[in-house]
Amino acid sequence: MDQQTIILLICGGYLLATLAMGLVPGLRVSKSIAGYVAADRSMGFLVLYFVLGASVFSSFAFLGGPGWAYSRGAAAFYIIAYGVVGMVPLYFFGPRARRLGQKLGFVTQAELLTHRFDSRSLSVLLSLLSVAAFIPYLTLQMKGAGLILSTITEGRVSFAAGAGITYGIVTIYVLWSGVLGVGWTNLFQGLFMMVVAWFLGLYLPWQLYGGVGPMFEQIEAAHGEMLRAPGLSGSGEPWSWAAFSSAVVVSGFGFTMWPHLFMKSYAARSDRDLRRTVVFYPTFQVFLVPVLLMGFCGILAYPGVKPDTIVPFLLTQVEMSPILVGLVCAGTLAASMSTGDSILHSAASIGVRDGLCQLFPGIEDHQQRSWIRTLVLVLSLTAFYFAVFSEISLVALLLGAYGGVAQIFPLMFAAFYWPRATGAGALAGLIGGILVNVLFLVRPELSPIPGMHEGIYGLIANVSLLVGVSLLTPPDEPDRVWAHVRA
Amino acid sequence: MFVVLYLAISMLVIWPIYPKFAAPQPLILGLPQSLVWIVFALGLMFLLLLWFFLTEEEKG
Repeated sequence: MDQQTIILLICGGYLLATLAMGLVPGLRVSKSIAGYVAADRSMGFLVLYFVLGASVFSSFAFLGGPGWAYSRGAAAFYIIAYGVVGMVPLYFFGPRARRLGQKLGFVTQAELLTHRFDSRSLSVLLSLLSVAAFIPYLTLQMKGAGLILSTITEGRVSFAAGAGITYGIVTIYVLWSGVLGVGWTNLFQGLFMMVVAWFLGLYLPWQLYGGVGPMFEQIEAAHGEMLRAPGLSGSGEPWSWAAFSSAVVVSGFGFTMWPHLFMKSYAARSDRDLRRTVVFYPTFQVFLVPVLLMGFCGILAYPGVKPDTIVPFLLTQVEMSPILVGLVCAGTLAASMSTGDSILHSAASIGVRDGLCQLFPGIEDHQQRSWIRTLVLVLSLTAFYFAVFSEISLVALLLGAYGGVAQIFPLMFAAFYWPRATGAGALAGLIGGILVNVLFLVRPELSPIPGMHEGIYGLIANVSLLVGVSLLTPPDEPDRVWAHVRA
Repeated sequence: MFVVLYLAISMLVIWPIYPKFAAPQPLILGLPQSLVWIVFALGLMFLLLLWFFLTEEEKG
């Protein structure tokens, strides 16, 4: 049996195992909307730990992260740095959101904010922001899956077929089982990715340089500037501290505001399970270290490779058993699928609950479930179109989306901790923040501090408007406000 | 106390503290100091959260 057949058989086996793990939970979850979107609020520590971990670590972590290390050196440490600060807010917001969700039936992030600020416009705006941010995110996951399968088989499996088969399976189990399917597959995929990352991150430096230490010694001797923080910019010039630090701050604010992450608070069985998950989250994040080591491996050994393809490229160059290559390939698919399924499910749920149901109130529970499933299919096909046929720069769109998602943070903070915040203030803050973010994204030359992340300016405008307009408008209805502040 | 410590640890990974540990040398366990510093901050955040969680559990 030739090498590529062995690799494909292993990947096929992995995909079938994932499908089975995704379908079985659908047999025991209720047919209600809370069952489909929030797993009947039944997720314990173990599943939550892997859902939150695996949802975050995507194709970007497995392909983009090493790509950054390979082309920009220490700049890639930013990916670990923002995780240091980013998860902590969920320790405080998450249990409050969970309790409110249980009491008032919320299953999405926007439902909580819409109730607190009594604003239907806010709900529709948040649903548009979420879906707009999710489509490029999902498309990147599909591109990751297509890229790994086509590169590793040297084109025997086409890019379109790789993306199509992988995400066909994701779509099936998301349609059938909802978030519980996402949860159980993420547990399996998370474990798989961790093992693969540690194996490959240690094996590649050993194979190419004789170990991690010798690898860094040689890189330091040849390209010392790459290992000095904050590393290099995209154009190869030294990255500024303003750019590095502001990127860490904005990404830290945006981290738990990504709706597909925040919504998992509603799926938690108890406050204690949710808090324990946040506490232990850094143990999951350490796995980014071996992921970055893979990228550093290529710097001296294989210069001139397209950064995002450095991991699959190394797999085709380094001497390794086809069984191991197959397992590594499956691990990379796991990284793509474990984020893609969560995004697909959340985007469809948000589109229906926060968009459609607000525009057309009175849609029954079972009808919502059907609409969500329809939207899962539509979004999956849309992302597939962008992944295979479109040339739009999705990375640029996604980076812009991070700044946009971070604008939700001040509203969430005010909802729980500032009773004087009003609906008008929240709406003004969110709209102002997004507009300013977009302005500096498309016109970076206007930035007073060169390199500063546009999200910082957005957050300044957001907070100023939230506070200013809130103080100028009458306070919101006290019962509703205090239900959130005392949650 | 928690907020102060959280902000202090967050400051470790950005300007103006991180630049003091930005050099690749010395290599620690084979890894550049600039990377080890970030992993150290991650470890500190884990310990802070664990301490806070256990304290809250004790209080009930």
